[in-house]
Amino acid sequence: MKDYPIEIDDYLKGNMSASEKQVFEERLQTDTELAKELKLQRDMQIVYEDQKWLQGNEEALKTEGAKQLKSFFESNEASDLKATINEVISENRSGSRNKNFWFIGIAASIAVLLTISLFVFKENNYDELYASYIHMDEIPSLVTRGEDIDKLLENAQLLFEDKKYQEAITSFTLYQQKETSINPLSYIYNGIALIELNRFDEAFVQFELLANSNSLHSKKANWYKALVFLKQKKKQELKDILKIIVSDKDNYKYLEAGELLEKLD
Amino acid sequence: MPKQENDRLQNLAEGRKEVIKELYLSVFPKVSGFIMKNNGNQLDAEDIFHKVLLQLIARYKVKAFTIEGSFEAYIFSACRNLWRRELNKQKRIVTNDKVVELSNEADDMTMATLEQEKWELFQEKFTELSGNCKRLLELFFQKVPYKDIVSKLGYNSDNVVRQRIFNCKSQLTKLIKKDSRYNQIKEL
Repeated sequence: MKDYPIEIDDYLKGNMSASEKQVFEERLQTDTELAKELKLQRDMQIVYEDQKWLQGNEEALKTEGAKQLKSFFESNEASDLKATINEVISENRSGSRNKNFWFIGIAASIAVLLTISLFVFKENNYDELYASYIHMDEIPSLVTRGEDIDKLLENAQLLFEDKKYQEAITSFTLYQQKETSINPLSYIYNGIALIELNRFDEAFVQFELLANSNSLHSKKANWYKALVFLKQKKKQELKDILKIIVSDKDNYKYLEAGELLEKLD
Repeated sequence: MPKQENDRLQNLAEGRKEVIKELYLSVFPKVSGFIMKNNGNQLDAEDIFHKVLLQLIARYKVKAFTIEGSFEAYIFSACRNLWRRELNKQKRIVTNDKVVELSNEADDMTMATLEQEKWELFQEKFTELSGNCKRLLELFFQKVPYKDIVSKLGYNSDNVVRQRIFNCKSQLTKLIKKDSRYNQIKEL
């Protein structure tokens, strides 16, 4: 039954005389078994007394088990788990910190407002750029003096100038369906009307048709496609197409394309 | 541990949010109550709670194990221990003259995990003792003088008590040493 030297209890309890204590401590210097037993009894006292926490010896970090634990704590898996746990905590935090929430609420609303205003500023920025580059007055008129002009087309242009885009689109589309020889300018008008109504995909198709029209106006197609992207705030696509335009000085709106590229960055 | 509890431990180790939420809702209020009563705040409580779950997962990943009894009670006691450890650490940092080397977080988490394992081993072994030994040792570890134990438990003399306690402590020591886990933590 004797599993540890009983003197250890006397030593720990302070029940030894000065000379007994001295002898015991001298033994501890050389007797490693006794030292180990003393440590275990001491640990037991701390754990079972339940007053203090038993701090371990950092030498234990060198053991195999410790190394495995440590490598887990350092793993990505552990940091993911940590994030998940903290997420659950913040999702389910009760109202016990209402005071803080009130403050955080205000701070959050300010942050949201700031974000919105930045966002709006940016959005406006694109819209302003679009407005400053669209130059509708630059589109040649479909109505040329002295020429026999399709009534439908003439009417469509008037609707467009009155900003009645929906009706203008209907007329232009009807014209394009009816005619075999289509005036390429109708693609520009129809395309811009579609942009104004945010029907970007259909607008893009109009400028594709313009590009393939084998006319004087074909080379304008890239610029109008750029305007579709600009209105859509598709920065990357916009930059890509502007780069095509600036690659050749002879391209339509070469200077404007370069200017717009600079403004985007 | 009932199978259902074991599944929860496994689900926790996989980082399943529903288990984490369940434990948070059932155990966290007690944990934060304990910590707030003991010089801590809500943030300390959240920190302790997440560390305990992570330690539990780490242990499970290194070597799958089971928890005896209720999962909730287990987590609460682990949180309580970790908070006591934290307070001890702070006290040491304040009182130590020499510069305390603050180990890195992974080292600290590892040490805390090993210490908790040791604590569990000691607790578990204590429950295996006879009722008589438990009563004697509880008084002994609370540093109740032998003569008071004599009168309290009706023994004949200090010497009988001393012998009895020695026997009970020998049994406990033997139980601890016999456990395979002891070999792994005896460096601690």
